[in-house]
Amino acid sequence: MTETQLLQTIGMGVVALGGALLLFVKARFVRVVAFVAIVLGAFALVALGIPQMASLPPAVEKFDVASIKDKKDLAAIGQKIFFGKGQCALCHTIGTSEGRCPDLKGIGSKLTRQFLYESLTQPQAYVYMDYEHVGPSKFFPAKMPYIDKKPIGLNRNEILTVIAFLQNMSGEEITVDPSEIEGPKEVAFMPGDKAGGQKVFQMLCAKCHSVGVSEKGKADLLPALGKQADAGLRHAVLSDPKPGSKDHQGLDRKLAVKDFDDLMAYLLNAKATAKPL
Amino acid sequence: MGITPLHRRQGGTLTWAYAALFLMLVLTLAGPVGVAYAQEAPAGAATEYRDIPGMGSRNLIWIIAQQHLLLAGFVLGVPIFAWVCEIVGVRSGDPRYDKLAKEFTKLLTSSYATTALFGGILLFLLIGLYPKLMSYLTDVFFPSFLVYCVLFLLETATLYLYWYGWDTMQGKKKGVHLFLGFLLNVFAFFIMIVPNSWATFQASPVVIAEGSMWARAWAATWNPTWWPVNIHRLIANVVLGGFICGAYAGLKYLMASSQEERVHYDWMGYVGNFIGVFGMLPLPFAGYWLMREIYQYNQQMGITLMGGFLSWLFILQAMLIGILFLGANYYFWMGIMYRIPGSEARYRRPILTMLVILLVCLGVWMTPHSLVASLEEARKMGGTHHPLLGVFGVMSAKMTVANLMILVTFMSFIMYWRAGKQETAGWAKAAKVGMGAILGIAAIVVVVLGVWGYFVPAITRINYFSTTQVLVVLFVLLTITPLTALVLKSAKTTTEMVWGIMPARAGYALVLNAVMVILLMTLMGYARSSSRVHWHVYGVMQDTSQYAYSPALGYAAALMALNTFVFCLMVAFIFWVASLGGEKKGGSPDKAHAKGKEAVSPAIGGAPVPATGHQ
Repeated sequence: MTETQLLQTIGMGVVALGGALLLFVKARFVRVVAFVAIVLGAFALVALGIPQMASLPPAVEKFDVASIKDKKDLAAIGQKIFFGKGQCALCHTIGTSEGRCPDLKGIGSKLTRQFLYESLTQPQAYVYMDYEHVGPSKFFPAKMPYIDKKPIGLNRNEILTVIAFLQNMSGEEITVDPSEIEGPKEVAFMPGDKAGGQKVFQMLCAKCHSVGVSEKGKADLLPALGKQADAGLRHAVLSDPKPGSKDHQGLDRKLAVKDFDDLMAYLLNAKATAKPL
Repeated sequence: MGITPLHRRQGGTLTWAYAALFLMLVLTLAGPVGVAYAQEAPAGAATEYRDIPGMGSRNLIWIIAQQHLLLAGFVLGVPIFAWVCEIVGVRSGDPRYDKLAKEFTKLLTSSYATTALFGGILLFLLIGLYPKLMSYLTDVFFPSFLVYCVLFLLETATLYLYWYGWDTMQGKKKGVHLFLGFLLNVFAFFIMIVPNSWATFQASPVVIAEGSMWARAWAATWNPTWWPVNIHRLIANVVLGGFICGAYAGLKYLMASSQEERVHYDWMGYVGNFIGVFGMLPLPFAGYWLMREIYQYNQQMGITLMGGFLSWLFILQAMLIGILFLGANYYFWMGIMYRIPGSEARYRRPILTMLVILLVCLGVWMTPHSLVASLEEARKMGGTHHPLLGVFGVMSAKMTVANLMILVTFMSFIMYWRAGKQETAGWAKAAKVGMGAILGIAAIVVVVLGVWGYFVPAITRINYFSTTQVLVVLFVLLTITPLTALVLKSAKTTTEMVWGIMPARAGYALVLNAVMVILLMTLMGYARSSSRVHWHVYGVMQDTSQYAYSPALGYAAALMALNTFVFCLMVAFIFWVASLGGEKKGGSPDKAHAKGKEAVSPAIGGAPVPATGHQ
């Protein structure tokens, strides 16, 4: 007997017992208890009558880099993530128009790989603030979450496989190569140029911050960099707006993807070398 | 009056009853908790979880937490309307309202200790069974724990002064007593919102910046769903308290042995139902605001709730709310038919119309978007959406019918309020025409917006149309209520209300309403917890225990039914124990009433009062 059948049997027993008490017992209090039991038993039976579906934690897809032979393997893994850990299918549809968010049919042919990556890691950079938005801005725009942050938290490998799936699903050539899939180490960003990052830092951040040197009127970022793990640094430092600070708000929207990556490279290098640059 | 042997025996019974309850709870918990503590963590590793064999730690926490929440909802809701009832008694000069307020408070004091008992048990179990989670939450919220303890002391002291000083603080000292009642409600409100922050932080955590422990606790407290839950629970507590008091009166009415008891509990049942219904009318709006904030905070959590794995839960919710609306209205209609002689012919058609509207609205509200269909059936339909019924399985339809049900229920109450009275004011006719026009136009606006909502983008419907529907209904409530009060102020009574002759099914209707409200609380508590899926703190601390899943709805419903049954029995036990304290102390009906049917006179505010004199 399955759990559902067992519970249904108990429910029917409760309803039957309640009915019997109502029929044969005169004591008012007992009749009221029987009435309550019938109501509750009926409620449980109705709930047991609909499809039973438990919500399990998403299965963790183990990346066995050696098992990835070609690009089709990448797309297959990406498909599992799309419908599993990535939770993309919760909001996006493929081929129907009834989704709450943009339909992704053919998206791999409409958007470049870089744009897809940006959409997943910095959705507010270009993705519309609300779907089908036309006209003046709304009070409560719908927001796509950051896919490489919690609670979804896809790592770089997983994001690349999802991109491979989207491209493959759209009939396009997959531009992700299996050699790009790294080992178990998680890297939440694509490599950038630290020299270019230094220029970005001078332009945007140097007014209020220094790195590794003590300057009057400026906050040294090195101690804060030291407290963050590399994977979280990108977003903890830059993408999450600092509470109460207007200067940090929208910072992630001001930067192009490449500038963002360059700045990260510069800061991570500073952290690793712990010398003023 | 001295202490008689009867009182000594009753006092002794009281002591034994509480001792038995306490011993039962200790023995029930001691065994499995002992086994849980016998589980040793691996050497060098901090214990993250402990389990209870057989039952499971999650289920035990579920039951204890649910009992605590239901009791807490009751003891925080009752002071609100008990205090209002006392104020009405002072303003009207009618001692009946004061006695009723005292009877409500008697129920409250009896439940208070049990609420705290379950709270303490819950705390111990959480610390023992979920040490990882509790350590994290303590780190964030420790200052608020201190605030909570202080609030508890203040609430307890105020409650004892309020209850035990009731008879002493009469006459000139009544103002002091009313002030104590006000303080009681203020402390109760804060006692509610402090733990609300712990629960809402789990669902919608915020980034906690570095700072003092008070600053961090404050930042964590003010999270996106905190205030929506505060408002929703504040109103829901009033609803729960009202309907439980109504059920208490219903049960006492069924078990009454004298006509004066029937008269008193018939009236008390009316008041309880009235409080429950009036709180119930704005409650869906608070729930809608909460869902919007959840969607705003995290779209995926919102979709999990209403479009994903928990979507069928909202069909069950629709069913329970629909039955609750039907039950509350049915009680009003029975009141019209039985308490106001000669009204059957006049009100039969309007009642039938309202019943049909409610049933149709309930049907639409319960319609799911995707049907449970076999492959063959789905192929015939062209999908999982029924070609006709699928149209009703969307929010535009459901918001519309929910607002219509609120309007109908409100009209049931207005109809009851005006029954048996004849307006004498010169402007009464114009006022009635105006009120009818407001109601008619509001209903049309609600339906038009609902139909139009199918043809606009979702964001337009959510931000403008649904909000307008809510505001229109609120406008109706806030204009027709004072207008009716003004019109009836000078009205003459054409038919005296008769209390104590309602049929037995009226008592069962009151009990049914209370059961529905309690079930709804257990259902939505499950929804709130499950929306976090496999997270203790959403997106921050993952649940890595063996119970990191949400059970299927059927299993959860069985536990909800069990929780509801246990709570009902426990409350019945508590009220029975309270009644052993003696009728004189508790404010139950005086013996100096006429026998047979009681004629009544309308009181201020339109709520009829049983007559106190002889007939």
